[in-house]
Parts: sequence; structure tokens; C-alpha cells
Amino acid sequence: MSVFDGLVGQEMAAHELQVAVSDAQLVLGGQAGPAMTHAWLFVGPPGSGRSLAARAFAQALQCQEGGCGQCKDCLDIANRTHPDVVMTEPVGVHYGVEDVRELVAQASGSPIRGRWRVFVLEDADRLESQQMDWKPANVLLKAIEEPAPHTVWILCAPSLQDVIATIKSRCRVVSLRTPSASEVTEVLITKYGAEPELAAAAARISQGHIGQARRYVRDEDTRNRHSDVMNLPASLTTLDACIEAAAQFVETADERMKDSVKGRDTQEREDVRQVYGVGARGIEARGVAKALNDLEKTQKRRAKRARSDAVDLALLDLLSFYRDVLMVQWGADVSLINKEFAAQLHAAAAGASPEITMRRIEEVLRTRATLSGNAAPRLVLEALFATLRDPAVAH
Amino acid sequence: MTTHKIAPAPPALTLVVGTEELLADRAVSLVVAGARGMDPQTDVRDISAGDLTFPAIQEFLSPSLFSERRVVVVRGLGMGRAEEVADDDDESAPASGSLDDRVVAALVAHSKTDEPDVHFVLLHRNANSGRGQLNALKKGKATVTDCKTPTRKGYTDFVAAEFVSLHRPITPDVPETMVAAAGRDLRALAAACGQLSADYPAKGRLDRQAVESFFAGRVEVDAFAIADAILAGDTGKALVATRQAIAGGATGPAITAALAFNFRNLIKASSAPRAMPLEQAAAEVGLRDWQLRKARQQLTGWSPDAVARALRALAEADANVKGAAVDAEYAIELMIIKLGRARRAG
Ligand SMILES: [Zn+2]
Repeated sequence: MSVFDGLVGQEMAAHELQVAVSDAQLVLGGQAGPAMTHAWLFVGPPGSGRSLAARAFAQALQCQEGGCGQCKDCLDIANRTHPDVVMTEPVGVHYGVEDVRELVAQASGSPIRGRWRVFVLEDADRLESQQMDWKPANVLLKAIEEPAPHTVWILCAPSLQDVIATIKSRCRVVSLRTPSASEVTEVLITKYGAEPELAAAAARISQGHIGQARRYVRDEDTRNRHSDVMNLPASLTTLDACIEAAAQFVETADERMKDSVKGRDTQEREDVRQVYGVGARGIEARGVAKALNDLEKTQKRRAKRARSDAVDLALLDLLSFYRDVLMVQWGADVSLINKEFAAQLHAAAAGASPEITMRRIEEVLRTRATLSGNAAPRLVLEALFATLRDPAVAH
Repeated sequence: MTTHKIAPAPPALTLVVGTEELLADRAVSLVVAGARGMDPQTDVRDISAGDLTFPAIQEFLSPSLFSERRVVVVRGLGMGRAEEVADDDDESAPASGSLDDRVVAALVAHSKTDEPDVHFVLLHRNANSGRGQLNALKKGKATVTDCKTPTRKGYTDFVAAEFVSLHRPITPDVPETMVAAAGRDLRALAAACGQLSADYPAKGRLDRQAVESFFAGRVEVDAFAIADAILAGDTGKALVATRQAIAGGATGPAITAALAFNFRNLIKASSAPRAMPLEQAAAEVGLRDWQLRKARQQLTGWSPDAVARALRALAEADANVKGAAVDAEYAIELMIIKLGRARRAG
């Protein structure tokens, strides 16, 4: 049993990483190990398992058995409690300069318990930001150029184009691919015990995104949210229905966001209180108010991002709906993503021309781009739904 | 004799109900001042509704080692869907505060305490969704402070009362003049009252002339004036109003939010049943009756397609004013022109 077994459809990448792990042993012994290096860039589309691959690599580097998945090192890494493996993600839309500086400072130390200090940066594409004057990327660049002897950086990004060239050129690239629907289906059945039919639907609807597929299989709310999106287009008959639907959409995203941040927020508040030694009725130590205040700001930023991620997921579902409508209109309805919703798809196909469907697809894509900025989600969705109702207003 | 004000001893539970912020802040200050009057070391906690869990309230109510007095201010209760413009501010935490039933029961029981040493102040916005809980909280001996948005007369009464508390005699026409000049904004009014009393020497009565010269040159055109002009189809007037609003400190996002709010009302009004009495129809679509009356007048000239185009222009402008690279004023002006065109295109 190896941690690399958990990576679905990534045999090539897994092999490459295993070679690096055995060369890493040589490096620790003072020998040359050309397959091991200090900076890695894992690229693959969302859902291809970038984070899982990064975690497996970190486990394999720290573990005495090369990634058994069972020992204390492996388990602590899986639980994010290993002192030598730091996994970070941007709390807001982008990484902040201070956050990166702090990471770089941590990276200059030597391992505390393990063999390496491993730093995993999720969404390394969000290092690059004009608003931040490119600073976060530059701070990191220096650290990657002159790494401490036992520090390993693992950057994750959706594609090579998304990463600033200077960083890219200093990293060894590992490409992950989107697993096929049948690979995902099989994992859902064998590993998570899903019914074959549900597993197949989940694999199709999540389009290779394993995390999503797993949620679809396990969680009824996720399935309900998906079917809500499938029923949305037909409901957009009046403007009143459009603004109602937008309000509903944002509300659903809020709920989803709360689910994803709730436990963590409370835990972090507790942690701060612990650090400052504050009991519920004790006298508050100096600085605790500020620390809690800073934390609240961070949590707010994170909540905002989680909410926009949730809106985006729903928009992707909507996109898959119109994609299917187009397939029906072209008479290619053998490969529908949302096969279970054939009635809705056929009704929508009969009610519009392929050209109008294309315009609707364009509008959804445009909205996704707009929402990656700071625009008010509710207003942007109102405009989208009013346009989906009658795409003629876009011209 | 000194004029030093002594705040009354605060109750165990105060419910501050309504959305008027200034009044709510004052209600909180009154409780805090009362508690501090009894014990200068009073510990004041400000928490959000979500943090008032059952374990938290048990700890607040458990006997203290330090026998200290404590005020616990709980914000964000009874937020509902009808949060109007503020709803669009994506910074606002999406808390729709409601409390655990056990917490409510503990608060109700605590409200009956004589000589309490823990004073809860709950800020309740009283949106529809939170009503049931508010009624449950009132079951004990809570003190309820009404902070709902005043009526027209409420604003003039507020001004009159402000001057009384500032010990400043005024002529009877002053409150009307102030509301006309400063607008229906209690914070602005309170600030102006304080400023006027400070600026004008304390002999004789403060009169209308003093108020007018105080406000002279200050043009208070807020974002809603832009919306009124746009919806009436007067692009020129809307552009002038935009310049004035921006000069007066209105931000791009505030303007797009205000316009979005007005267009939503327009859409709601278009679906309000005509055959029903006004109040009933307004309630049906989630508007107040004056909002429905106004929006119905504005509806002439706005076809559904024109409104859809307007929403697109608004969303685009909102993205632009929040992006770093674009001149916000230009983005707003462009939006105003597009809105005007949308209406004409029908
Ligand atoms: Zn292991």
C-alpha cells in the first residue's frame, strides 16, 4: 500500500515522483540524486488531484517507508498537523505579500521532526497579481532561487500558462491529467462503495473532478443543488423570476460557503484564545483583541472566496446544461453530461435555436470572468439571468 | 448643582429592535454607561449572534471569580432577506442571526433577575424571518428599545429633542429646515445639531437663518437622486446628479448598489397584482406601499427588455468601479448613458 495508489489516473506522475523520492534518500545520504529537486510545480486542471498528489509526495518524502499512509508521519501530514509540512492557500483572491514573507521565513529553518521541510502552495496561479505589484511572486522567487538545504517547495496550479515565467523556469514540472469518467466511476465504486449507476452519473456530472464526484455520491444536498441548477433555465420567464433566482443562487452559495468554513473559523478563534491564555471569563490579555480582529478579517476574506467558488461551481453546472442543450439541438444527444435531466434539456432545446444557445453559453462564460473580480455577485447574476431569459438584450 | 448625567441602572436584558443605527448605538451606550456608573471596571463584550452559543451563555452567566460586572452586546440578530441595499455589499457577513432555543430560554430566564450583574443587549433587526424569535425573547422582563427608521415627523422630532439635550433653544422652523437640508439621516442630523450648537454663540435662539447659512453651498444629492432621474428618463439630470453625488463623497459601488436597489423595486412593482389594494399588493411583492406607488409611476417607459439591458449595464459598471484600473467616475457616467439608451430603445 502506497500513498501514490490514491491518485486516480496519474500513473505517469506517480512514477516520476517515486523516482524522485528514492533519489531524495541519496541526497540525504550526501550523494547525488538528480531526480530530486527543491522546487516543484504540479499542474493539472481542477479536480485532477493536484493537492492529493502534493500531499502524497510530502508523505513519501517524510515517511521511513516511502509513503506507507499508516505511520505517524503519513497520518500527521494527512491531518495537516505535521510540523514540517506546511500547506497553504490564498485566503483572499490572491496571496498577500505578508503571507508569503512569513512562509519564506519559515522555510529558512531546518526540519523539526522529519527529513525535509515541505511547503505546498495551492493555487500558485494566485501569486501573480498586478494589484499586488507582483510582490508575492517576487518574494517567493528569491526563496526558490536560494533554498535552504532541506526545504522543498511544491507549487500547484491549473496550467503552466497560469504561472509567472520566472517561477515556472525554476521549478520541475509534474503534469497531472483529468481522469476519465470511467476511471472516476471505478474509484467511486471500489473506494467509496457507491452504487454503479450513481457513480457513473457523478463521474459524468463532475467531469473528472474527483472531489466533486465524491461529494455528489455522498451528499444529498450536493445532488439537490445540481438539480436546482438544471431546473433554473426553465424558470427564467419573467424579470421578477430572474431577480428571485439570483437571490436564491447567492443564498445557496452562502449556505455552501458556511458549511465549508464554519468549523474551521470557530477552531481558529479558540486557538487564538488558547495562545493568549484567555478563558471565557478571564481577563483578556493584551493583544488578544487585535489578534482576534486580524483573524476575523482573514476569515471574512476566506468566506468571500469560498462563496465565489460556490457560485462558480453552480455556474459550471449551468454551463454543462447549455452545452447539453446544444448537443440535443445538433442531434448528438448520445453524450449528455446531465443525462438524468433529459426532459429539461429537450424542452430547452426545442425552445431556442442553436445560435441562441451559443449566446447563452457565452454569457455564462462572461459572467464567470466578471465574478472573478470584485463585482457584487447578486447584481451580476441578475444581469446574467435577465440575459438568459432573452439573449436578444445582449445586443 | 452640576448637570452631570447619571445613567439608570441597566436591566438584565435589553432588546434593541430596528435598523436605525444611531438610535441603536445610543441604546447600547446607555446600558454601558449605566453599568459603568455602578462599576467603572465593567467588562464590555461585543459579539455576533453566531458566537452566542449555549456553552458561551452558560459561561457568561456562571458566577464570576472576580465578581465583575459585565455587559454583553450581541449584534446581527434577526437579519432577513429584506436587507435592501446593504444586501449588495459583498463585504457584509452573510449572518442571518438566530439563536439556539436553549440560548433564548436562558436569556428569558435571566431577564427576570433582580439586580443582575450581567447585562445583555441584543441588537435585533426585526426582519420578517426573525420575528418569531423576537417574540420569544420578549416573554420575560426584557426592556425593549424601538430603533426603527422614523417617519417624516420622526426626523423633525429627533432634531427638536437633540437641541433640548444640547440645552440649545431654537425657533420652531429649525427642525424642518434641518431635515430638508441634511436629509433623512439621523447620524448626519445629530452631527449637524452638535456642530450648529458649537458654531453659534450660546445666546438667544438658534434660527432658520443660522441653519441655512450653515448648510449653504452644501449640496446633498445622494445616489438615490441619480436613480430618480434615470428612472424618469432624464439622462442629463442624472449626469448632473452623478457629478454632485461623487463630489459629495458618494462612491461608485454605493451608486451602483442604490441603482440596483431601485431597479429591483421596479421589477417587483411590475409583478405586483393591479387588482389588489395597494398595501396588500405591496406586501405581496415585498415592498412598502410608498415604494410600490413610486415604482409604479416610474414603470412607464420601462419595458422588460429595457430593464434587462439596464441590469446588464449596472453589473458591468459595478465590476468596473471595483476594478483597480478604471476611472470610477467615467465608468459611472458611461453606465448612466447606457441606462438612458436602454430606456429609449424600449
Ligand atoms: Zn508512512
